[in-house]
Amino acid sequence: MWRLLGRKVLHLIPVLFLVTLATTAMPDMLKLGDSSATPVAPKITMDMKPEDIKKLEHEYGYDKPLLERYGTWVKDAVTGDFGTSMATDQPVIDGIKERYPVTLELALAALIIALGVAVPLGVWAAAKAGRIPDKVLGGVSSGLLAVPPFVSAILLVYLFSVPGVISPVFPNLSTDLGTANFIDGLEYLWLPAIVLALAEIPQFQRLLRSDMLGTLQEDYILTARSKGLSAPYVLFRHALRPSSFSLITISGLTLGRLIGGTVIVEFYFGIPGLGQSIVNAINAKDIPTVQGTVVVIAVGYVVLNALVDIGYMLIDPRVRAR
Amino acid sequence: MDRNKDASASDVPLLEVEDLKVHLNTPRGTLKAVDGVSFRIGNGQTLGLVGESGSGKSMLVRSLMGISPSIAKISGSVKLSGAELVGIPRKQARAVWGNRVAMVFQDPMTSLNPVVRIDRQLTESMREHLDMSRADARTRAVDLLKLVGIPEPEKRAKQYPHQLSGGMRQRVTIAMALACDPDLLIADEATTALDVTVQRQILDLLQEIQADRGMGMILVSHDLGVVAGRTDEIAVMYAGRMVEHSPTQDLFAHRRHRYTEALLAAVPRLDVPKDQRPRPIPGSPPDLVTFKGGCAFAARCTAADDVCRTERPVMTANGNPRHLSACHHPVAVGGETEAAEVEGAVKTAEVEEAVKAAEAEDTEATDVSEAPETSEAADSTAEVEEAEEAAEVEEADAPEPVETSETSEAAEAGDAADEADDEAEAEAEDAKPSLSKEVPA
Amino acid sequence: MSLTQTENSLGLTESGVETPGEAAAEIKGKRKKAGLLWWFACAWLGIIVLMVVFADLLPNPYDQPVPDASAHESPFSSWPEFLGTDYLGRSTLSRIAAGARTSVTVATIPVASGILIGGLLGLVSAYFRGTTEAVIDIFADALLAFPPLLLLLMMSSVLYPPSVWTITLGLAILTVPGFYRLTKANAIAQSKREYVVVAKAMGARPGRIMFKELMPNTVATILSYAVIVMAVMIVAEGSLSFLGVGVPDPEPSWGGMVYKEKDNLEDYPGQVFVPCAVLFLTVFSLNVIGDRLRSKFDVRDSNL
Repeated sequence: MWRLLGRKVLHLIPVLFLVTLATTAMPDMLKLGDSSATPVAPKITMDMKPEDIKKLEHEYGYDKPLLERYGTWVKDAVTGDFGTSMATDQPVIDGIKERYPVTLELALAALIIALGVAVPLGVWAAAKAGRIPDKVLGGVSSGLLAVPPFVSAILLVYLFSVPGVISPVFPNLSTDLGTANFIDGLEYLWLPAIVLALAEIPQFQRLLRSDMLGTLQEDYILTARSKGLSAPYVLFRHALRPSSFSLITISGLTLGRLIGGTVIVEFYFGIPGLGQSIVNAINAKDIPTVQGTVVVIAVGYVVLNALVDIGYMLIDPRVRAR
Repeated sequence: MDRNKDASASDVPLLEVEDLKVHLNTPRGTLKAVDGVSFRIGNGQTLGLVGESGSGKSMLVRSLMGISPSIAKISGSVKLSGAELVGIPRKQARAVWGNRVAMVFQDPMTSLNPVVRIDRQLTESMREHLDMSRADARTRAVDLLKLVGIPEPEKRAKQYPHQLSGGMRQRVTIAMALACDPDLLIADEATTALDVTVQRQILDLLQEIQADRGMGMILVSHDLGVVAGRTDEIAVMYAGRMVEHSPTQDLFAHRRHRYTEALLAAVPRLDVPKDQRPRPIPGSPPDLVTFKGGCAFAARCTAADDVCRTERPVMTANGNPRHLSACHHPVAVGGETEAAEVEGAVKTAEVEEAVKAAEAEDTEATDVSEAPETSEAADSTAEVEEAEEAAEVEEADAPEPVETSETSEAAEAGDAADEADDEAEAEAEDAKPSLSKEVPA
Repeated sequence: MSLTQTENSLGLTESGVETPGEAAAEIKGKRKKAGLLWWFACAWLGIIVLMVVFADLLPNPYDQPVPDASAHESPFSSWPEFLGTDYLGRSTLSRIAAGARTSVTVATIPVASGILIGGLLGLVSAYFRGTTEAVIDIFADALLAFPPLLLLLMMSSVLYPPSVWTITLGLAILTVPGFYRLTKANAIAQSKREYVVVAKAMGARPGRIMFKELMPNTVATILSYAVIVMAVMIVAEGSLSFLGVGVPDPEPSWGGMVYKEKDNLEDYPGQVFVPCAVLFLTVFSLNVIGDRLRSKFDVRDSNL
């Protein structure tokens, strides 16, 4: 097991290197597509001549070769310095710090809702496999799978909102939300969280159902049933755990994905999270902010994935024994 | 439901099965897995239920335990100490299953939940049926583990099944079955999946416990050798029906049904001359969906005539009122095989030596948690080799299509070994770092 | 575990790719009937194809207001513009049809290039294993390390100005690692089978083994998976356009239509829900077809 852990961690290093290098290379990619494009676009005013732009690029260090810039970037990033926003002249890290809790809370709330709904439904569908409840659930989940989050967001807003306050539903959220306490935040976040959860529920439900069906074929389920235990006991206390390993793995990965995937609901509901800031930064051509935010999310995602793998080893006694 | 443990004095038999039918609704039609079986077991008695695979013996005992497949339709009557079990609400039936009737399954590798600790698997039925506190149930669980011969029961109780060897696991499943002090214990091929050497230990253990507690027991096996010396009565099943039922000694002394005779002839024995080597039964059992009337064994029977092919024989006593058989042309009196001989047949000097060795191993080196996979894999390979050798020998002697208990055992051993290998492979794959993201190579 | 790998390897579940795992349903005999859904899905995709082919024959162009029509005419109120008009008075029908072209473009080109590049790399990796595999793996993992929508956003911030083609390029990059892993896993499973071992033992050249032995046996799996990925691509493009960083107006895109009308949801819900419904039906149809193909070729079998 320790060797596995070691390999996992070793594998992280080149991946993290490539991820950070790719974000550092963003200005170069920009030039690649359009040689007149410049990473300092937000700073350019109407009266600037090409020389002035060159000077600006030099000021920001964009004229240096990629690897040199990468070295500087790593050195700064280690100390928590992700550069300065082109649009606001604020340190990028400040924006991230302010917005991260909002996104994290949204993602967690969505995950909890999704699991809370999907686990009982998945168990139920497996227990009734092939019969009416299972078929209905199967139909509903294939339907839900085909609903993109932005569609369900619009639909829910339309269904839930009173006339007059239709869109966006919570227009006046301030960035204070992040520092406000978690419960208060939920008051604003429940609808966006449901939207995010809706996309995950059918996947969780299907995954658990199919794993559970496999488990229910196992001899040890017969053993448990032969002990005269009740059906719910057998399902939840015997079948659920061995069926949930892939669900747990997927949940971990989903959390990572949700943190990077709240963009749509944050944009639509006007929630001041990381996703919203990325969209704003793209529209403002504010490369340092995009860079910093993307790298934080991507690194978090990679590390979380690794942790999930490790966690997986810890929860399965059969793997743990090795 | 009252627990009526002292009913042994009364005339009511422990288990009374009347015309039990288990019919499966398959896409092809109704599969009559069990088709009108009747028998009784007295208190403290042991019944051996014998038949080849597909004879319906497993389906029969599973229907008693409420674990037949969902497509099964059960009819007839099953009375436990006089109380009807068929057709009662599930909730009432649950109070019987695991409590007054308990079961030991074939393969201890798969019949224990791999992610639940031994102690919960032992205590859950006590807590369900006996309303015991967690602590009391735990104490009893440890006592039970001790009873079935597991060293360091305290430590074992806290472990997961994979930390135990196969023999140990089967002891655990026996302890599980005993948890609520059942009146009837069903052992469904309880030793088939085990090494030959461990088989005997487990059978001895079952017999010992049965005698100590005065339980009724059903020993299900495809192997007459297994049930020969350990049962009061033997019931032989073929194609979903009972074909012969008799006190054990009498069955071997005066077997009546042609199938029983064929089955006996197929048991390999070392104490008979070479020209009487095991005779396999040619052909295979009928399709239970399409089979219509007559004797199910007729197609494979040397004595079959037109009557056999058209009329279904009924169980009749022929002389001895306790010896029933369903055969139009019963074997003439004089098939003198002693039960002891048949039992002896499975005991060779070699095996006995191995038993001793394994016993020593099983008790001394029980902590297999370090390398369970390797030792098991080694065991099963050895077993396959053994089985293959046996099969080869037999093929040389008996060129006809083979269907004997020995070869089917060989095949099963092979399967088990394959399974073990697959499992090892699968687990090795699992163990790769690729758990969630990479594709296992 | 096999399930989670496919799903995660694509890393595109953002938009709701379905989770593989109908195997159990198959046991129950689900595969025997083609069913109403299957025919419905085929019919709908047929309509989409017709729209793509005949978009230019519609009575009104997609980028000009319909003569004598006002803005925001509700759906099902007139003929031939039975889907109404948008905020500029343009024909919703024509825009849906032209948007179908966008959707088909972003669905087919990235998937095709993903299959080509990812498939090739997968075969190479499966054949050579060792260092080659390790190096390609690291690149694939790095691509998968980004949450997919984020990677798209990042790319759309550098591939400027946005157009159908920059988005197609971004999506193409996104599909490669998924197809790479799928092909690799399949090919590795195949390469353990006897006929490949025999071919190797007979001294067949790597290229021959890869293309004559390994490839044909992975194609079915890849194709059934590709259908599902197409649905993902359509949703991804829709999401980008919904965020206002996708296909820019007046170029039509279903997601873009929703983006432009979303603030009028209360007053003109029809203008929002028509593209939503079209998108839903298309994704749903692709999922239904992909599911069925997949259960036929059983991806799980391939030890993914």
